[in-house]
Formats: sequence, structure tokens, C-alpha cells
Amino acid sequence: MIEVKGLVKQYGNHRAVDNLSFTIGENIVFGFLGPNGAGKSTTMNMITGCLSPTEGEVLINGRSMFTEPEEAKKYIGYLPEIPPVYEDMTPFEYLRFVGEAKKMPKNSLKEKIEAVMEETSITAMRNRLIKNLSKGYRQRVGIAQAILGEPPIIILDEPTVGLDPGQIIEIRELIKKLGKSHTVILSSHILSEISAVCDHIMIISQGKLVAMDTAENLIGSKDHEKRISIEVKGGRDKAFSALSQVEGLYDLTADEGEKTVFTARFSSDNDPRERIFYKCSESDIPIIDMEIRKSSLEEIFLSLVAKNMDTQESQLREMAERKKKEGES
Amino acid sequence: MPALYKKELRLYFVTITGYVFLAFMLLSTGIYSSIVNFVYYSPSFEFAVKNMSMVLLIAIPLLTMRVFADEKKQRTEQLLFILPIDLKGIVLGKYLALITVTLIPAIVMCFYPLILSLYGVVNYKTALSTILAFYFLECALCSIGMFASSLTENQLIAAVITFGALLVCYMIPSVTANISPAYAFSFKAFSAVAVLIALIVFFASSSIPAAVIVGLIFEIPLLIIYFKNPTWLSGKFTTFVSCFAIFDKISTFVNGVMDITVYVYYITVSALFVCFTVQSVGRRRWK
Repeated sequence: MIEVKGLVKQYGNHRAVDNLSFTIGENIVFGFLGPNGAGKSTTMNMITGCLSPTEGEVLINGRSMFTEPEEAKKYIGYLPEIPPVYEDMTPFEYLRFVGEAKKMPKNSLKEKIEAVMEETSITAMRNRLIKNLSKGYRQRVGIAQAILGEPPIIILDEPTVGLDPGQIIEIRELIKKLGKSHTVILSSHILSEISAVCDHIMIISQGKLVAMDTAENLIGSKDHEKRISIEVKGGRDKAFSALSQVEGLYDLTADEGEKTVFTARFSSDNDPRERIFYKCSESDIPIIDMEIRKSSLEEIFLSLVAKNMDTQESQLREMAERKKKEGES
Repeated sequence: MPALYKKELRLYFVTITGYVFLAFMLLSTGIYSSIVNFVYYSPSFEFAVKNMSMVLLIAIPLLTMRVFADEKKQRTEQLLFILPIDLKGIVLGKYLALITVTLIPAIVMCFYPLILSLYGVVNYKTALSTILAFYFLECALCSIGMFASSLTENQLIAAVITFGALLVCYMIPSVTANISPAYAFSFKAFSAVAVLIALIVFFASSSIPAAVIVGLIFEIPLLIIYFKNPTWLSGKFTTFVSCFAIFDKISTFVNGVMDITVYVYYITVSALFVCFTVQSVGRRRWK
């Protein structure tokens, strides 16, 4: 349904999006995750035709966004980061303009607008000027604009920003509902929101695709590290020195509190529990509890982003060294 | 495009802009007509229309400043790019709404010759052809204002750019009277224009070779003419500058000559600046 091939956006010397390629199928909720300035909004703007890419192609149902934009845009509803609403219009007038511009049939336009307003809970505000609406209601008007005309693809950039907790839950439910019959792409900084709503997650950092999979696969992936929590009986220092000698354990820290609890990391293909048991037994330290904790989405996100930044930094360093050597020779 | 046209037209009248423009234009028409026709006892409405053109220096920037600048500032420009409307449709929708608003005072103006006919002999052909030329002038100025609005997100800056451009066009007739007809001056002035065009190309494309090529395209023929037949250049710069005297063209109608080329001139200017606006709005998507 959405095919992105080698998408690049260059701003002077800065590459905001770097050779991004992915495909998104039908009827799924797809989460876009990345730190600030990762290129999420730029990518979304290019997918929706708001921004032209430096290189690459975007195909929407086989239609190129850059050679057949009018055709491709018919399949898309988009809510940008800041809702594009006209302040001097009422929600109804605004949605009527959007519906007419989307070339929706005139005879059913009013009913469709009423239905969308009902769905986004803005019916009570239909005759108020948008400039007099709260941020949350403006956001809802923006969402209503995106879903009007039932486009098969709905792209929402930070749709819950500015909403109160009740409204956030409502919008999440709406997104889930839309995901049953539409492809929804959702960008958010809130990791819990992404994991609660999305079927698939894509993590981008510094314009590059870092990971793309289901939330379960990302969390359960063998490529990622796991955490272990060990509770022992006895002196903290003695236990720390014993555990720090266990092979494959790293980032060992003692938790604060009355109990002697330690947390450490290990590679998921190198289970250290047996070694911990023998080491503690050898040092005469009774183990009270030992629990492996899977990494949360937040930890995976941070580690992937950090890994990508490290890789890029080392590449830059290598390049700088190579240039220096070339200059010397 | 029709949806955008309707929305734009509506916005002029839900905000104060449309009403201020209409009030300003109608008040000015009344004042000029009172002075020219009633104080001086002349039934020729065309003279009032000609004097009215000065009012456009203020009225047009006021009307056009928000067209694209406000869309960019409010971030609603993004909505226009999302909707299945092409760039030409976006610009034409907005331009048609603009010239519809300017049509209203032009229609009201058509009643003035009828009123004046009660007090004297009115030449309807001259009066109506002048009003038509005045409307076409408004259309051309609107296209310039719309282009200026597409260059910035600040309405005030858009208004200042439009006012500056229109003021230069307004002052051209008095400036051309003082331009030297000497061929050496024409050569130097045309060379300066070539450099200016090359600079514009450089800022638009960020390409030095493109700017140099464009500069040379203008400069080489100029050099050939200068060395082969320099007298041909005499007075040519004055003629060239006179082409931009957009306000002055309307004088032809006041003198009783219905010059179709003036209408063609105004339509050409309008088309040219509409095309420039399409390019300017399209260029934003590359940024």
C-alpha cells in the first residue's frame, strides 16, 4: 500500500532523512518512533506530498506521490504536527471546505461531516469559530479533517499532543478502530502510546531506519540485551564483589533500599543464572530471588538510538582520520 | 479549485479585509468623482478613474498581503499541499477570489456614468472602456501582490514589498523623463540589468554556472550591438523602462482611444505573475 524507496532529504550539509526504504501493508497501525530531530515529521511530510524529497520515491497504492500527486493524495488523510485549521471558520465550515476539496459527493457530504464530527466528539463545537476552541478541540478538528472521506491511509503526526488523559484514551480507541479498516501511521514520542496502539513499530534515528518490527518481536528480539535482578542475603560489598566476577554480567548496580538487590545486564544469548548460582554458592551468599526482566520498549528504543549514534560517530571519526592521513601523505 | 475559490472568497468577508477594501475603494471613488465631476462640472468619469489608480497603491497591498503569507504563518499551507489540488489550482483559486473582490467596486463604478448622464453628456464608450482597463489594472496589480505574499510569511513585509513595487511602477513616467537617451548610458544601464538578472538566477538556483550563462545570454548580444551599431541603443533604455509603467497605460483610454493592446498588456502581466507565484509556492516544497 505504501512503498518508500531510497528517500533522502538534504538541507544544505544536513541530511534529515537518509536513504529510507520500507513498505507498509493494509489495515495495520504503524508506529513511527524516534527522538526529536530524527526525521519523523520530514518523512511524513514527504510521504504525504507536502515536501519534495532530494532523492527517492513514494508509491501510494502504486501511484507515485511525485509524478501523480493528485491521484496519490486521494488515498491519504494527514494530520500534521500542528493542526492546519483556519481560525476564522467553524469546524463545520472547515470540514465542508476539506470535503469539497477532496471532491466528495455533494449529496452525502453533510452526513459524512456529521458522522466524522460525532466520531471525534466535536459536534457540540460545530458552530464555534476555531480560534475560540481549546488546543484539544483544535486537535480533534485536525483529526476529523484527516479521516473525512474515509481515505484508506491515515497519517497522524503526534495526534494526542495537547489532549487531556480522557481525550487521549478516546483518540487511542479511535485510532485502534480506524486500524481495523485503514492503514494508520502514527508518530509519537510517547512510547507507551505506540506500544498500546501500534501493530508494527519503526524506529528511526538521525534520518536512518534503525529497526522495524512488531512490538513483541522488538521486545523479544535475541539481538537485545536483558536485565537480571538478584536478591541475596548478606553484606552488600561482599555480594557485589562476588557478582562482579560472574562472566557475561555487566552494568552491575546495587539497588537502594533495605534489601540487598542488584541489577545487571547480560546478552540474551548468554544466560548467566547458572554461573551466578555457583559463584554465590562458592562465596557463601544465599540467593533469595533471581528474576530475568525483558527490556522494555523504552530501553530498546534508547539502546537502538544510542547504537546508531555511536556507529555514525565512529564512521565520522574514521572519515576524519582518513582525510587527515590523506592530507599528511 | 472551486472549493478553494469559495473558501477564499468567504474568508474575505468573514474577516475585515474584504469590507475595508470595498469601503476604501468606494469612498475613494466617491471623493474623486465629487472633485472631478461635480466640483469641476465635468461629465467625464474617466478622469476620476484615472486619478483613482493612485488609491491602488494602498488598496492592493492591503488586499493581497495575507493571500499566501498568512497560510504559511498559520501552517494551513500544509493543508493545501495535502489536499488533492495541484499547485496551479491553489494559485488560481486564490487569484480568482482576489479578482472577484476587486470586481465589486468596478461594477459599482459602472453606475457613475449613468448618474452623471443626468447632469451632462456622457461618452459611455470611453467611460466604460476606462473602467474595464482600471479593472484589468487591478487584476495585474493583484497578481504582483499575490506573488509578493508568496515570498514571505509576514503579512506586513508582503504589503511593503507590494507597495514598493507598485510605487516604482507608479513613478516610472516621471523617472523616464530624466533618463539620458545617449547610447552609452543605455549600454551601461542594460548591462546593470543583465547583472541583476544573473544575481536573481543565482539566488533562485544557487548555481554560479547558471547565473553566468544567463548573464552572458543578455550581455553578449548587447556587446555585439554596442560595437556594431551603437546608435541603435539610443533611447532604448527609456523605452524599456516605460514597459513597466503599468499605471500610465490607462491614460490612453482617458484620451478617448480604446487601445486593445493595453488590455493584452494587463492580462500578460497578470499571467506572468500568476506563473511566478506557482513557481514560488512550488519552490517552498523543496525547502
